Amino acid sequence: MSNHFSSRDGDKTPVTGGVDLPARLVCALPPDDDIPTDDLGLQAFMLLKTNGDKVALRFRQSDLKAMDDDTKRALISDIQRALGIKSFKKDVL
Amino acid sequence: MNLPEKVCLTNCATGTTELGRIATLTREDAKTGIDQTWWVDLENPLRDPADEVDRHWEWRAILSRSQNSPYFRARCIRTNDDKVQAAMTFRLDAKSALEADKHAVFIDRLATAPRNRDMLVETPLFRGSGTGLLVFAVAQSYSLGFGGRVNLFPVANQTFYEQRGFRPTAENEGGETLFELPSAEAIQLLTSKGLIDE
Repeated sequence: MSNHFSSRDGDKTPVTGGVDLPARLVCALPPDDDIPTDDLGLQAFMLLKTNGDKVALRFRQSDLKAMDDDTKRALISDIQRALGIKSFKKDVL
Repeated sequence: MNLPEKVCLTNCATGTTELGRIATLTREDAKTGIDQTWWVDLENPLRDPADEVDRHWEWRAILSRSQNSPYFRARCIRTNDDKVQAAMTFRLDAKSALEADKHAVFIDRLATAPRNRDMLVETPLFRGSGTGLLVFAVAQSYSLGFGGRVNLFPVANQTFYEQRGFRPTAENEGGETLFELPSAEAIQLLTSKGLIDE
C-alpha cells in the first residue's frame, strides 16, 4: 500500500462487523462467575485456560483476584516466556 | 511489555502526528462519545450519512447486550481533546476457522468516526485510528498465545482485508463470509509494525 497520502485521505479501515460470531465458533470456556473481569486478570486466566496442554500450574482462579497488578504482570510474563510468546518492544502502534 | 496503549495518528490537514490513547470503551463513553456525537458534527457530508453501514449502530446498546460476557471486550481511540476517533468490540473466546483446535480473537465491530472517513467528508480529521485498533486486536491475540489469529466479517470490504493478509473461510453467517488472518501473516504484521522481532 502506498504511504503517500494527501489531506483527502482519511482512515482507510472500513466499517466492519455487525454479524454475530456463529455459535459453532465459540470456544467452550468456563461460564462461571469466578472469571477475572479486569484486563490483566483475564489475560492471565486466558493464557492458563487456553494453553493448559503446554503450561501446567497449580492454581485457583480466586488466587488471580487476590493478586496485585504487578504480580499479575509477572505471572503473565512467565507464562508467555514458557509459551514462546515474545514481549512487545514498544507500546505505540 | 503490556499490550500497546497508544496509536500514532496523522492529522490529515497538517500532516503532523498525534498520539491517540487506546482506552476501554464503557457504556457511558459509547453513549456520549459515539452515539451522541459521531453523526451530529458532520459538516457538508459528501454523501448521505444514512447510507453508511453503521449509521444505525447504537454502541451503548451493543455494549449493554454484551456486558455479562467476560470474554467480550471493547476499546476505542481517544485523541487529546478526549474525542473518540474509532471504536471496536471483540471477543476472546473464538475458534480459528482455518486451523482446527486453535483460538482466535473475533472482531465483532470496528468503525472509525465518520469525521475521519474520506468517502464521507471533504477533509477528514485523523488517519490511523481504525488500523490502530485492527493491529491492537492482532496484538491481543498474539499476547494470549493465539498466534495473532483474528477473524471478522468484512461486510462488503473483502478486498481491504485480503490486501492485509486475511483469507476467506468456509464459515458463513447471514450471507456473509468470515475472513481470518492466519498466524504467519499476523506475526508478519506485528513484525512490520515493530512490535516484535522476527
